Amino acid sequence: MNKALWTLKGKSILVVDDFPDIRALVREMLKNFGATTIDVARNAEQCLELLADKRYDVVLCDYNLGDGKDGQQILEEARVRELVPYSSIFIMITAENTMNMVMGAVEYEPDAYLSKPFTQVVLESRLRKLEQKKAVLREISAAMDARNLERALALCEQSLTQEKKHYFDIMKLRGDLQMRLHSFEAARAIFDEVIAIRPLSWALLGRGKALYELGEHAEAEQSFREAIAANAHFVAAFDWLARAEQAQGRIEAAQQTLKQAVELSPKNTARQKTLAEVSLKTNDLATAEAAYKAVVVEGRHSIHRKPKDFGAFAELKVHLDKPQEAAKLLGAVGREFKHASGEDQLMAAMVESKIAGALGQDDVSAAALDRAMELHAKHPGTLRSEDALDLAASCFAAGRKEEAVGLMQAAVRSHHEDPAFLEQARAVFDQAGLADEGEQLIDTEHQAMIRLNNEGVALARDGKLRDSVVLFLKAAQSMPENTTINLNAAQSLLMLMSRQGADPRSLEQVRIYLTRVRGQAANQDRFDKIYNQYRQLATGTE
Amino acid sequence: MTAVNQTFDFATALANSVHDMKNSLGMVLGMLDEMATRIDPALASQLKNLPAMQYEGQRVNNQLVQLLAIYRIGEQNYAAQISEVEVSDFLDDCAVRSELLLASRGIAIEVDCDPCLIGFFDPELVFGVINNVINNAYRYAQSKIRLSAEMTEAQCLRMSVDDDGRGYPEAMLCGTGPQQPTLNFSAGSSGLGLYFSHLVASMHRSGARQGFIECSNQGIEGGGRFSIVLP
Repeated sequence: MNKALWTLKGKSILVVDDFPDIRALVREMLKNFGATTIDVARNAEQCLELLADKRYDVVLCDYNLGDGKDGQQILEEARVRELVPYSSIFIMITAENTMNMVMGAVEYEPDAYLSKPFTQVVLESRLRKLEQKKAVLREISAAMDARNLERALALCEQSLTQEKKHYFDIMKLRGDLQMRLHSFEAARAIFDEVIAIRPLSWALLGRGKALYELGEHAEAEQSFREAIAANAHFVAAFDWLARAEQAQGRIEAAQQTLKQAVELSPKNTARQKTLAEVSLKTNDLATAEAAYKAVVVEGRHSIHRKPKDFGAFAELKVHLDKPQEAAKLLGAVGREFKHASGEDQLMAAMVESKIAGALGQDDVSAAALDRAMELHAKHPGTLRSEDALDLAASCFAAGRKEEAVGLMQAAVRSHHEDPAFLEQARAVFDQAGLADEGEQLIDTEHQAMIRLNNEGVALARDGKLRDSVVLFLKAAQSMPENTTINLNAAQSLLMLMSRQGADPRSLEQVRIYLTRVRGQAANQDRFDKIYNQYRQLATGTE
Repeated sequence: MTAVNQTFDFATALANSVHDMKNSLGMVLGMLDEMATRIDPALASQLKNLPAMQYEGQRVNNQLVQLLAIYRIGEQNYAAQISEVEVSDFLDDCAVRSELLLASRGIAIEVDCDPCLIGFFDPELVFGVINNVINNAYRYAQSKIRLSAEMTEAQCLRMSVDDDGRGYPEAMLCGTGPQQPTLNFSAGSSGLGLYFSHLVASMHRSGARQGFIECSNQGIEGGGRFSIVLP
């Protein structure tokens, strides 16, 4: 390897730091390596905007960014929103003394940590190494970026025999991929294999997660405790420990665990939200109040802050006899989500209507409900069925029966085979004093769905595959939560591809349908059958 | 007010202050590095003390890091965080971080390590140890420092820093095994450094086995060799 040959020419790079001097310094270093496309951001907002806009080959992000989100929160959001492809390099820059606290303590890890202060040669050495590693794993990253997890997994298994140097990286990837594919037994076996070599904290966490999903909550708890013993700052392990404790009915213990985690890392909005919800269950209203405040106020920039949190917080305030503070939240929720997604705007209007109702402001409540219904008409398909039941209940209560029945119809259709959901729907009708009418509606919709499915199946059987595909795709679009429709849509597309050959767009479509219904135990056998057909096609396709 | 009656916790005050000093010094060192990389050759003669400033600054920094780590270990809020480490990358990183400073004294640093070797240790703590040893070798090496790593027969990872100087004085030779080295704090920084290295090594455990350090004169042509052996 000739050092002189290495260059960043042609690479796009993003530097994130709140100090202009440091931004300038790093930029200068990068320029010396031939980098020409260097963007800079001074805070999380800017950084995420740029990431959403453009694909970067290298991101150099400072951990400590002052008041807003820190580097870790940026990384988490970027990974969740898929703004940083796996083939890119993400380096977290930390102050020397914080490295140990940050490193390995989180679920979303950067490709490397770099401790300050660093010189040009140190940065160069690090970047070169990471580029080499990315080159080795290039095909795997490409498959992951294409969301072809099956192919990524197959490639991991192939490279495992050749890549001694990256053995643990590949094992970690394999474990994570199996988890994402809901192959929990396989994931557990992979993490066990690593633990047999060395009980590394990430492997203990992975094993615990697999056990949790397999329903082995006590064993999972043990694994999470071992992960915490190996790394006392491992907040992700605390979160999972709390889940395992809750699953075993130990709510108080879960609350204590979450309190510890919040103390370690108070900025995490999702964790504060869980703490608030758990604290409501244990009737520790003071903790719930403080945690909701952290969500609603400090979580201002978080993707995890939702209109419903304002609703739950306001409800708590009313309960605590603080109507003025609830009224403030009523004002805030509309303002804060004014420019949010259609779903969030709709949810915000629903929440406003509810808070206003609880505060006795009937006019305000009715106006908010109007707005919610307008938004529902304007953004069809954004409302989740569970929330639709909620909205329908509000409509029934406000005497808007026709609109309520419309909402109920769509919700029931989306879940015509889901007994638990239908039970909730019955409860809404009961509440409205319309039990019989509700039963009738459920029955009618159920029959209609059976007819629709039969029609599509018959078309396929008669060789009219295209017509069958069109029918199910249309149905899956209007009822994205319906299990049978999704499975039928996937199957009809697979049948068409087996006749005409696979194409990436249809495969992606099948992947979406299957992802929607994965893990629903009632349909496991049918799912497995269809999924196996998909996997065979997908692993062979780039 | 009862402030007069409050016991003044000297150790905590000192730790906080050390922390602060380290941050300030870190900034000074960063600026010195920056200066050294882009120095105008015409001015080089006027800044001939720059490497010495860097070296002395690094020495102070290492000691502050060690003091802080020893304090935290004593307070029991500091445990080794073992992760899988690509050893050759790790040693490269150690070498690269002091390359420039060593070059100012005409000392070359090289790494000799199987690129596929994986170790299990706390990279931040062990970096503190290796960096400190390199910094000492800066004073004693003639022209060469070598970082190397290998698996021992007992399946431990041995990382060594060899130099081609005159070797350690008799009193400092120590090894082989987990017993504490004889400490002589009157020797100044080397005493503290040795204690820190011993502490870090012994924080690495696997089953019943524990890490240890060795100082010998099996370095380059009878020069000093420091090894940290981790289970």
